[in-house]
Amino acid sequence: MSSPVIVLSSDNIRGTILEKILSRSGFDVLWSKSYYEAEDVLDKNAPLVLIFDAKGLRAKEAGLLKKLRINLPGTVIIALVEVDTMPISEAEVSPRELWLPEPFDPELIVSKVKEIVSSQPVERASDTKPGKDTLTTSLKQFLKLD
Amino acid sequence: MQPRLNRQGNATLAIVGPKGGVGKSIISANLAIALANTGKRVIAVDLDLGAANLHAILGIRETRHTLDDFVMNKVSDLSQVVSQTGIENLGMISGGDVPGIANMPYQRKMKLIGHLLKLDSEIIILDLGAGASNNVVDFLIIARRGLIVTTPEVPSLLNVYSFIKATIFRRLAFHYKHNNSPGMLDLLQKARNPEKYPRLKQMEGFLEEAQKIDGKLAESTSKILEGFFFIIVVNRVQRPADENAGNVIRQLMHKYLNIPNSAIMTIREDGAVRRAVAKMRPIMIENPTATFCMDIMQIADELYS
Repeated sequence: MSSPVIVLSSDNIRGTILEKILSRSGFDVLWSKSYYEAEDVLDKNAPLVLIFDAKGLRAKEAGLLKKLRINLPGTVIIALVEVDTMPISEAEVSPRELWLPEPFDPELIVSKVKEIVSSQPVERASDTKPGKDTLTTSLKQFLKLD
Repeated sequence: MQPRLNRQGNATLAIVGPKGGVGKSIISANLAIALANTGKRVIAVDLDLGAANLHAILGIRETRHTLDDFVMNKVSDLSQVVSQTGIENLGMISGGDVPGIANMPYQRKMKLIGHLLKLDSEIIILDLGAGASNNVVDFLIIARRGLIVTTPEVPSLLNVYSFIKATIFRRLAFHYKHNNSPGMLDLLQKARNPEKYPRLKQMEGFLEEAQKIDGKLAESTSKILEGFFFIIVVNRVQRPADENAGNVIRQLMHKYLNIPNSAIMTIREDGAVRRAVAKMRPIMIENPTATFCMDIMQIADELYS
Protein backbone atom coordinates (compact mmCIF):
# COMPACT_ATOMS: atom_id res chain seq x y z
CA MET A 1 0.00 0.00 0.00
CA SER A 2 1.42 3.42 -0.86
CA SER A 3 -0.47 6.58 -0.02
CA PRO A 4 0.77 10.11 0.51
CA VAL A 5 0.48 10.98 4.18
CA ILE A 6 2.03 14.09 5.67
CA VAL A 7 2.70 14.52 9.38
CA LEU A 8 3.02 18.07 10.70
CA SER A 9 4.51 17.90 14.19
CA SER A 10 7.04 20.13 15.90
CA ASP A 11 7.57 17.41 18.53
CA ASN A 12 10.63 15.32 17.62
CA ILE A 13 9.56 12.19 19.50
CA ARG A 14 5.95 12.13 18.30
CA GLY A 15 6.95 13.03 14.74
CA THR A 16 9.56 10.25 14.60
CA ILE A 17 7.15 7.67 16.01
CA LEU A 18 4.41 8.56 13.55
CA GLU A 19 6.79 8.57 10.60
CA LYS A 20 8.17 5.13 11.51
CA ILE A 21 4.90 3.44 12.33
CA LEU A 22 3.11 4.77 9.24
CA SER A 23 6.04 3.86 7.05
CA ARG A 24 6.07 0.33 8.49
CA SER A 25 2.37 0.06 7.69
CA GLY A 26 3.16 0.66 4.03
CA PHE A 27 2.31 4.36 3.74
CA ASP A 28 4.38 6.83 1.79
CA VAL A 29 4.87 9.30 4.63
CA LEU A 30 6.61 12.62 5.05
CA TRP A 31 7.17 14.21 8.46
CA SER A 32 7.65 17.93 8.61
CA LYS A 33 8.28 20.04 11.69
CA SER A 34 6.48 23.10 10.39
CA TYR A 35 3.94 24.13 7.81
CA TYR A 36 6.47 26.32 6.08
CA GLU A 37 8.89 23.43 5.76
CA ALA A 38 6.14 21.35 4.12
CA GLU A 39 4.70 24.18 2.04
CA ASP A 40 6.38 23.25 -1.23
CA VAL A 41 5.35 19.61 -0.95
CA LEU A 42 1.80 20.62 -0.06
CA ASP A 43 1.65 22.96 -3.04
CA LYS A 44 2.79 20.37 -5.51
CA ASN A 45 0.85 17.39 -4.22
CA ALA A 46 -2.00 17.68 -1.79
CA PRO A 47 -1.81 14.59 0.46
CA LEU A 48 -4.72 12.24 0.97
CA VAL A 49 -4.23 12.50 4.74
CA LEU A 50 -2.53 15.18 6.81
CA ILE A 51 -1.83 14.48 10.48
CA PHE A 52 -1.73 17.79 12.28
CA ASP A 53 -0.21 17.53 15.72
CA ALA A 54 -1.90 20.49 17.37
CA LYS A 55 -1.33 19.63 21.00
CA GLY A 56 -2.69 22.57 22.90
CA LEU A 57 -4.37 24.12 19.88
CA ARG A 58 -3.58 27.69 20.77
CA ALA A 59 -4.39 30.65 18.52
CA LYS A 60 -1.42 29.97 16.24
CA GLU A 61 -2.36 26.32 15.71
CA ALA A 62 -6.03 27.19 15.24
CA GLY A 63 -5.08 29.69 12.52
CA LEU A 64 -2.90 27.12 10.82
CA LEU A 65 -5.68 24.55 10.91
CA LYS A 66 -7.98 27.07 9.25
CA LYS A 67 -5.36 27.70 6.58
CA LEU A 68 -4.93 23.97 5.95
CA ARG A 69 -8.70 23.56 5.52
CA ILE A 70 -8.70 26.24 2.81
CA ASN A 71 -5.52 25.21 1.01
CA LEU A 72 -6.15 21.46 1.08
CA PRO A 73 -9.85 21.01 0.32
CA GLY A 74 -9.40 17.41 -0.84
CA THR A 75 -7.30 16.27 2.12
CA VAL A 76 -8.58 14.56 5.25
CA ILE A 77 -7.02 16.25 8.26
CA ILE A 78 -6.44 14.27 11.45
CA ALA A 79 -5.95 16.79 14.25
CA LEU A 80 -4.23 15.53 17.40
CA VAL A 81 -5.42 17.71 20.28
CA GLU A 82 -5.79 17.83 24.04
CA VAL A 83 -9.11 16.76 25.51
CA ASP A 84 -10.10 20.26 26.63
CA THR A 85 -9.75 21.61 23.09
CA MET A 86 -12.03 18.98 21.52
CA PRO A 87 -15.06 20.46 19.75
CA ILE A 88 -18.26 20.36 21.81
CA SER A 89 -20.39 18.89 19.04
CA GLU A 90 -19.79 16.96 15.83
CA ALA A 91 -21.35 19.82 13.89
CA GLU A 92 -18.27 21.92 14.62
CA VAL A 93 -16.01 19.50 12.76
CA SER A 94 -15.69 19.49 8.97
CA PRO A 95 -16.65 16.16 7.33
CA ARG A 96 -13.08 15.92 6.05
CA GLU A 97 -11.60 16.30 9.51
CA LEU A 98 -11.02 13.97 12.43
CA TRP A 99 -10.06 15.16 15.91
CA LEU A 100 -8.22 12.66 18.12
CA PRO A 101 -7.72 13.61 21.78
CA GLU A 102 -4.70 12.87 23.95
CA PRO A 103 -3.23 10.53 25.05
CA PHE A 104 -1.13 10.09 21.96
CA ASP A 105 -2.03 6.69 20.47
CA PRO A 106 0.01 5.86 17.35
CA GLU A 107 -1.86 2.58 16.73
CA LEU A 108 -5.20 4.37 16.72
CA ILE A 109 -3.84 7.00 14.33
CA VAL A 110 -2.59 4.33 11.92
CA SER A 111 -5.93 2.53 12.00
CA LYS A 112 -7.73 5.80 11.21
CA VAL A 113 -5.37 6.49 8.30
CA LYS A 114 -6.05 2.98 6.95
CA GLU A 115 -9.81 3.57 7.24
CA ILE A 116 -9.57 6.85 5.34
CA VAL A 117 -7.35 5.48 2.59
CA SER A 118 -9.47 2.37 2.05
CA SER A 119 -12.67 4.43 1.84
CA GLN A 120 -11.34 6.81 -0.83
CA PRO A 121 -11.83 4.85 -4.09
CA VAL A 122 -15.43 3.96 -3.19
CA GLU A 123 -16.20 7.56 -2.29
CA ARG A 124 -14.65 8.93 -5.50
CA ALA A 125 -16.34 6.42 -7.78
CA SER A 126 -19.71 7.16 -6.31
CA ASP A 127 -19.47 10.93 -6.56
CA THR A 128 -18.34 11.12 -10.18
CA LYS A 129 -21.28 9.88 -12.26
CA PRO A 130 -24.16 11.39 -10.27
CA GLY A 131 -22.22 14.67 -10.16
CA LYS A 132 -22.12 14.80 -13.94
CA ASP A 133 -25.80 13.96 -14.32
CA THR A 134 -26.79 16.53 -11.71
CA LEU A 135 -24.68 19.16 -13.41
CA THR A 136 -26.21 18.46 -16.83
CA THR A 137 -29.70 18.64 -15.36
CA SER A 138 -28.97 21.89 -13.52
CA LEU A 139 -27.49 23.56 -16.59
CA LYS A 140 -30.38 22.49 -18.81
CA GLN A 141 -32.86 23.85 -16.28
CA PHE A 142 -31.11 27.20 -15.88
CA LEU A 143 -30.57 27.55 -19.63
CA LYS A 144 -34.16 26.44 -20.30
CA LEU A 145 -32.96 23.88 -22.82
CA ASP A 146 -35.57 21.21 -22.08
CA MET B 1 -3.67 20.71 -32.39
CA GLN B 2 -2.42 23.01 -35.15
CA PRO B 3 -2.24 26.75 -34.48
CA ARG B 4 -4.50 28.82 -36.70
CA LEU B 5 -2.44 31.47 -38.43
CA ASN B 6 -3.97 34.67 -39.67
CA ARG B 7 -3.07 36.36 -42.97
CA GLN B 8 -0.04 38.02 -41.38
CA GLY B 9 1.31 34.63 -40.34
CA ASN B 10 0.97 34.99 -36.58
CA ALA B 11 -1.25 32.93 -34.30
CA THR B 12 -3.73 34.92 -32.26
CA LEU B 13 -5.24 33.37 -29.18
CA ALA B 14 -8.08 35.04 -27.28
CA ILE B 15 -8.55 34.18 -23.62
CA VAL B 16 -11.96 34.91 -22.18
CA GLY B 17 -13.64 34.28 -18.87
CA PRO B 18 -17.35 34.95 -19.33
CA LYS B 19 -17.79 35.04 -15.56
CA GLY B 20 -15.32 37.32 -13.82
CA GLY B 21 -12.89 36.01 -11.24
CA VAL B 22 -12.26 32.61 -12.81
CA GLY B 23 -8.51 33.15 -13.25
CA LYS B 24 -8.49 34.30 -16.87
CA SER B 25 -5.77 36.96 -16.57
CA ILE B 26 -3.55 34.75 -14.41
CA ILE B 27 -3.83 32.05 -17.08
CA SER B 28 -3.16 34.61 -19.86
CA ALA B 29 -0.02 35.95 -18.18
CA ASN B 30 1.44 32.58 -17.30
CA LEU B 31 0.54 30.94 -20.61
CA ALA B 32 2.30 33.84 -22.35
CA ILE B 33 5.41 33.18 -20.24
CA ALA B 34 5.22 29.42 -20.87
CA LEU B 35 5.05 30.01 -24.63
CA ALA B 36 7.85 32.61 -24.53
CA ASN B 37 9.98 30.09 -22.61
CA THR B 38 9.69 27.71 -25.57
CA GLY B 39 11.51 30.31 -27.69
CA LYS B 40 8.46 31.72 -29.47
CA ARG B 41 8.06 35.48 -29.74
CA VAL B 42 4.91 36.38 -27.83
CA ILE B 43 3.00 39.60 -27.20
CA ALA B 44 0.34 39.61 -24.48
CA VAL B 45 -2.31 42.28 -24.99
CA ASP B 46 -4.53 43.41 -22.13
CA LEU B 47 -7.95 43.93 -23.73
CA ASP B 48 -9.84 43.76 -20.45
CA LEU B 49 -10.88 47.30 -21.26
CA GLY B 50 -11.55 49.46 -18.22
CA ALA B 51 -10.35 46.76 -15.80
CA ALA B 52 -6.80 46.16 -16.97
CA ASN B 53 -4.47 44.27 -14.64
CA LEU B 54 -2.33 42.00 -16.80
CA HIS B 55 0.75 44.15 -16.15
CA ALA B 56 0.31 43.70 -12.39
CA ILE B 57 0.08 39.90 -12.76
CA LEU B 58 3.25 40.01 -14.81
CA GLY B 59 4.86 41.94 -11.95
CA ILE B 60 5.18 45.21 -13.88
CA ARG B 61 4.43 48.18 -11.66
CA GLU B 62 4.83 50.97 -14.19
CA THR B 63 4.31 51.04 -17.92
CA ARG B 64 5.53 53.79 -20.21
CA HIS B 65 2.78 53.27 -22.77
CA THR B 66 -0.66 51.75 -22.63
CA LEU B 67 -3.40 50.94 -25.09
CA ASP B 68 -4.88 54.35 -24.25
CA ASP B 69 -2.04 56.03 -26.17
CA PHE B 70 -3.13 54.23 -29.33
CA VAL B 71 -6.86 54.63 -28.76
CA MET B 72 -6.41 58.35 -28.02
CA ASN B 73 -4.26 58.74 -31.17
CA LYS B 74 -1.14 59.73 -29.22
CA VAL B 75 0.78 57.17 -31.27
CA SER B 76 0.02 56.14 -34.82
CA ASP B 77 0.99 52.48 -34.66
CA LEU B 78 0.05 49.88 -32.07
CA SER B 79 3.58 48.44 -32.12
CA GLN B 80 4.74 51.68 -30.46
CA VAL B 81 2.97 50.75 -27.22
CA VAL B 82 4.51 47.30 -26.87
CA SER B 83 6.51 47.25 -23.61
CA GLN B 84 9.26 44.90 -22.58
CA THR B 85 8.41 42.61 -19.68
CA GLY B 86 11.90 41.62 -18.63
CA ILE B 87 11.05 38.09 -19.73
CA GLU B 88 12.86 36.91 -22.82
CA ASN B 89 10.67 36.78 -25.95
CA LEU B 90 7.68 38.32 -24.17
CA GLY B 91 6.33 41.78 -24.92
CA MET B 92 3.15 43.29 -23.53
CA ILE B 93 0.56 45.92 -24.32
CA SER B 94 -0.90 47.27 -21.09
CA GLY B 95 -4.62 47.82 -20.98
CA GLY B 96 -6.35 51.12 -21.21
CA ASP B 97 -8.44 52.66 -18.49
CA VAL B 98 -9.66 55.94 -19.95
CA PRO B 99 -13.37 56.36 -19.21
CA GLY B 100 -15.51 54.85 -21.94
CA ILE B 101 -12.79 52.68 -23.46
CA ALA B 102 -14.86 49.56 -22.82
CA ASN B 103 -17.53 50.96 -25.15
CA MET B 104 -15.15 51.75 -27.98
CA PRO B 105 -16.87 52.91 -31.20
CA TYR B 106 -16.98 50.35 -34.00
CA GLN B 107 -14.55 52.17 -36.32
CA ARG B 108 -11.97 52.55 -33.58
CA LYS B 109 -12.34 48.88 -32.68
CA MET B 110 -11.81 47.87 -36.32
CA LYS B 111 -8.67 50.03 -36.47
CA LEU B 112 -7.38 48.34 -33.30
CA ILE B 113 -8.15 44.89 -34.72
CA GLY B 114 -6.27 45.75 -37.93
CA HIS B 115 -3.19 46.81 -35.95
CA LEU B 116 -3.39 43.79 -33.61
CA LEU B 117 -3.23 41.42 -36.53
CA LYS B 118 -0.18 43.22 -37.93
CA LEU B 119 1.91 43.04 -34.74
CA ASP B 120 5.32 41.53 -35.37
CA SER B 121 5.14 38.41 -33.21
CA GLU B 122 4.67 34.68 -33.63
CA ILE B 123 1.92 34.47 -31.02
CA ILE B 124 -0.44 37.22 -29.85
CA ILE B 125 -2.41 36.56 -26.70
CA LEU B 126 -5.52 38.67 -26.17
CA ASP B 127 -6.63 38.85 -22.55
CA LEU B 128 -10.30 39.83 -22.91
CA GLY B 129 -12.76 41.13 -20.35
CA ALA B 130 -15.60 39.29 -18.63
CA GLY B 131 -19.14 39.17 -19.97
CA ALA B 132 -20.43 38.72 -23.50
CA SER B 133 -20.38 42.28 -24.82
CA ASN B 134 -19.97 42.77 -28.57
CA ASN B 135 -16.41 43.99 -28.02
CA VAL B 136 -15.36 40.81 -26.26
CA VAL B 137 -17.14 38.58 -28.78
CA ASP B 138 -15.68 40.46 -31.76
CA PHE B 139 -12.11 40.10 -30.51
CA LEU B 140 -12.69 36.38 -30.03
CA ILE B 141 -14.08 36.06 -33.55
CA ILE B 142 -11.04 37.77 -35.10
CA ALA B 143 -8.64 35.69 -33.02
CA ARG B 144 -10.12 32.58 -34.64
CA ARG B 145 -9.02 30.54 -31.64
CA GLY B 146 -10.19 31.07 -28.10
CA LEU B 147 -9.66 29.64 -24.66
CA ILE B 148 -12.82 30.00 -22.62
CA VAL B 149 -11.94 29.85 -18.95
CA THR B 150 -14.42 28.62 -16.37
CA THR B 151 -14.47 27.11 -12.91
CA PRO B 152 -16.45 23.90 -12.35
CA GLU B 153 -19.36 25.68 -10.63
CA VAL B 154 -22.78 26.06 -12.25
CA PRO B 155 -22.87 29.92 -12.43
CA SER B 156 -19.61 30.01 -14.37
CA LEU B 157 -20.67 27.16 -16.69
CA LEU B 158 -23.96 28.92 -17.41
CA ASN B 159 -22.03 32.01 -18.48
CA VAL B 160 -19.76 29.91 -20.70
CA TYR B 161 -22.69 28.41 -22.57
CA SER B 162 -24.38 31.79 -22.96
CA PHE B 163 -21.12 33.33 -24.16
CA ILE B 164 -20.60 30.63 -26.79
CA LYS B 165 -24.17 31.07 -27.98
CA ALA B 166 -23.70 34.87 -28.18
CA THR B 167 -20.50 34.38 -30.21
CA ILE B 168 -22.21 32.05 -32.66
CA PHE B 169 -25.21 34.34 -33.08
CA ARG B 170 -22.97 37.38 -33.64
CA ARG B 171 -20.92 35.52 -36.25
CA LEU B 172 -24.09 34.39 -38.03
CA ALA B 173 -25.55 37.90 -37.91
CA PHE B 174 -22.41 39.21 -39.67
CA HIS B 175 -22.78 36.46 -42.26
CA TYR B 176 -26.44 37.15 -42.97
CA LYS B 177 -25.86 40.93 -43.09
CA HIS B 178 -22.99 40.42 -45.50
CA ASN B 179 -25.27 38.29 -47.69
CA ASN B 180 -28.09 40.79 -47.35
CA SER B 181 -30.63 38.28 -46.08
CA PRO B 182 -33.36 39.91 -43.94
CA GLY B 183 -35.18 36.55 -43.80
CA MET B 184 -32.26 34.83 -42.12
CA LEU B 185 -31.69 37.79 -39.80
CA ASP B 186 -35.33 37.57 -38.79
CA LEU B 187 -34.95 33.84 -38.10
CA LEU B 188 -31.89 34.54 -35.99
CA GLN B 189 -33.86 37.12 -34.05
CA LYS B 190 -36.61 34.56 -33.40
CA ALA B 191 -34.01 32.05 -32.17
CA ARG B 192 -33.11 34.54 -29.43
CA ASN B 193 -36.54 33.91 -27.98
CA PRO B 194 -36.69 30.13 -27.48
CA GLU B 195 -39.70 30.31 -25.18
CA LYS B 196 -41.81 31.69 -28.01
CA TYR B 197 -40.13 29.61 -30.70
CA PRO B 198 -39.19 26.31 -28.97
CA ARG B 199 -38.36 24.65 -32.29
CA LEU B 200 -35.41 27.05 -32.61
CA LYS B 201 -34.00 26.02 -29.24
CA GLN B 202 -31.77 23.52 -31.00
CA MET B 203 -29.61 24.58 -33.95
CA GLU B 204 -30.96 21.56 -35.80
CA GLY B 205 -34.42 23.15 -35.83
CA PHE B 206 -32.88 26.48 -36.83
CA LEU B 207 -31.12 24.89 -39.82
CA GLU B 208 -34.33 23.20 -40.96
CA GLU B 209 -36.13 26.53 -40.90
CA ALA B 210 -33.16 28.20 -42.62
CA GLN B 211 -33.34 25.64 -45.40
CA LYS B 212 -36.87 26.83 -46.17
CA ILE B 213 -35.68 30.45 -46.41
CA ASP B 214 -32.37 30.09 -48.27
CA GLY B 215 -30.78 26.72 -49.01
CA LYS B 216 -27.33 28.15 -49.74
CA LEU B 217 -27.21 30.20 -46.56
CA ALA B 218 -28.41 27.21 -44.54
CA GLU B 219 -25.51 25.25 -45.96
CA SER B 220 -22.96 27.99 -45.25
CA THR B 221 -24.38 28.29 -41.73
CA SER B 222 -23.60 24.60 -41.15
CA LYS B 223 -20.05 25.18 -42.40
CA ILE B 224 -19.59 28.16 -40.09
CA LEU B 225 -20.74 26.06 -37.14
CA GLU B 226 -18.33 23.28 -38.11
CA GLY B 227 -15.52 25.84 -38.30
CA PHE B 228 -15.89 26.98 -34.69
CA PHE B 229 -13.37 25.46 -32.34
CA PHE B 230 -13.77 26.37 -28.69
CA ILE B 231 -11.27 25.29 -26.09
CA ILE B 232 -12.85 25.12 -22.65
CA VAL B 233 -10.37 25.45 -19.81
CA VAL B 234 -11.77 24.27 -16.48
CA ASN B 235 -9.71 26.06 -13.86
CA ARG B 236 -9.41 25.31 -10.13
CA VAL B 237 -10.23 21.62 -10.45
CA GLN B 238 -10.27 19.93 -7.06
CA ARG B 239 -12.10 16.60 -7.52
CA PRO B 240 -12.45 14.07 -10.34
CA ALA B 241 -16.08 15.16 -10.74
CA ASP B 242 -14.91 18.72 -11.50
CA GLU B 243 -13.14 17.49 -14.61
CA ASN B 244 -16.52 16.47 -16.05
CA ALA B 245 -17.73 20.08 -16.08
CA GLY B 246 -16.02 20.69 -19.41
CA ASN B 247 -17.51 17.55 -20.92
CA VAL B 248 -20.99 18.59 -19.86
CA ILE B 249 -20.60 21.93 -21.66
CA ARG B 250 -19.16 20.16 -24.69
CA GLN B 251 -22.17 17.84 -24.88
CA LEU B 252 -24.60 20.76 -24.59
CA MET B 253 -22.71 22.65 -27.31
CA HIS B 254 -22.89 19.67 -29.59
CA LYS B 255 -26.53 18.86 -28.97
CA TYR B 256 -28.05 22.35 -28.90
CA LEU B 257 -25.63 24.50 -30.90
CA ASN B 258 -24.33 22.00 -33.48
CA ILE B 259 -20.71 22.68 -32.53
CA PRO B 260 -18.95 19.38 -33.16
CA ASN B 261 -15.40 20.56 -32.55
CA SER B 262 -14.11 21.56 -29.14
CA ALA B 263 -11.43 20.62 -26.64
CA ILE B 264 -11.38 20.46 -22.87
CA MET B 265 -8.36 21.27 -20.76
CA THR B 266 -8.10 21.36 -16.98
CA ILE B 267 -5.99 23.22 -14.45
CA ARG B 268 -5.79 21.92 -10.92
CA GLU B 269 -6.43 24.06 -7.84
CA ASP B 270 -3.11 25.27 -6.47
CA GLY B 271 -2.63 27.46 -3.40
CA ALA B 272 0.72 28.58 -4.78
CA VAL B 273 -1.09 30.79 -7.31
CA ARG B 274 -2.56 32.99 -4.59
CA ARG B 275 0.81 33.37 -2.92
CA ALA B 276 2.48 34.37 -6.18
CA VAL B 277 -0.24 36.94 -6.90
CA ALA B 278 0.19 38.37 -3.40
CA LYS B 279 3.89 38.83 -4.15
CA MET B 280 3.04 40.37 -7.54
CA ARG B 281 5.21 37.80 -9.26
CA PRO B 282 4.04 35.49 -12.07
CA ILE B 283 3.89 31.97 -10.69
CA MET B 284 5.76 30.69 -13.76
CA ILE B 285 8.73 32.71 -12.46
CA GLU B 286 8.11 32.37 -8.72
CA ASN B 287 7.39 28.65 -8.53
CA PRO B 288 7.75 27.01 -11.96
CA THR B 289 7.34 23.47 -10.62
CA ALA B 290 3.92 24.17 -9.03
CA THR B 291 1.05 22.02 -10.32
CA PHE B 292 -0.56 25.12 -11.88
CA CYS B 293 2.57 25.68 -13.99
CA MET B 294 2.70 22.02 -15.02
CA ASP B 295 -0.89 22.31 -16.27
CA ILE B 296 -0.19 25.60 -18.06
CA MET B 297 2.84 24.12 -19.80
CA GLN B 298 0.74 21.18 -20.92
CA ILE B 299 -1.82 23.58 -22.41
CA ALA B 300 0.97 25.53 -24.15
CA ASP B 301 2.33 22.29 -25.53
CA GLU B 302 -1.07 21.13 -26.79
CA LEU B 303 -1.77 24.49 -28.41
CA TYR B 304 1.53 25.15 -30.15
CA SER B 305 3.74 22.07 -30.13
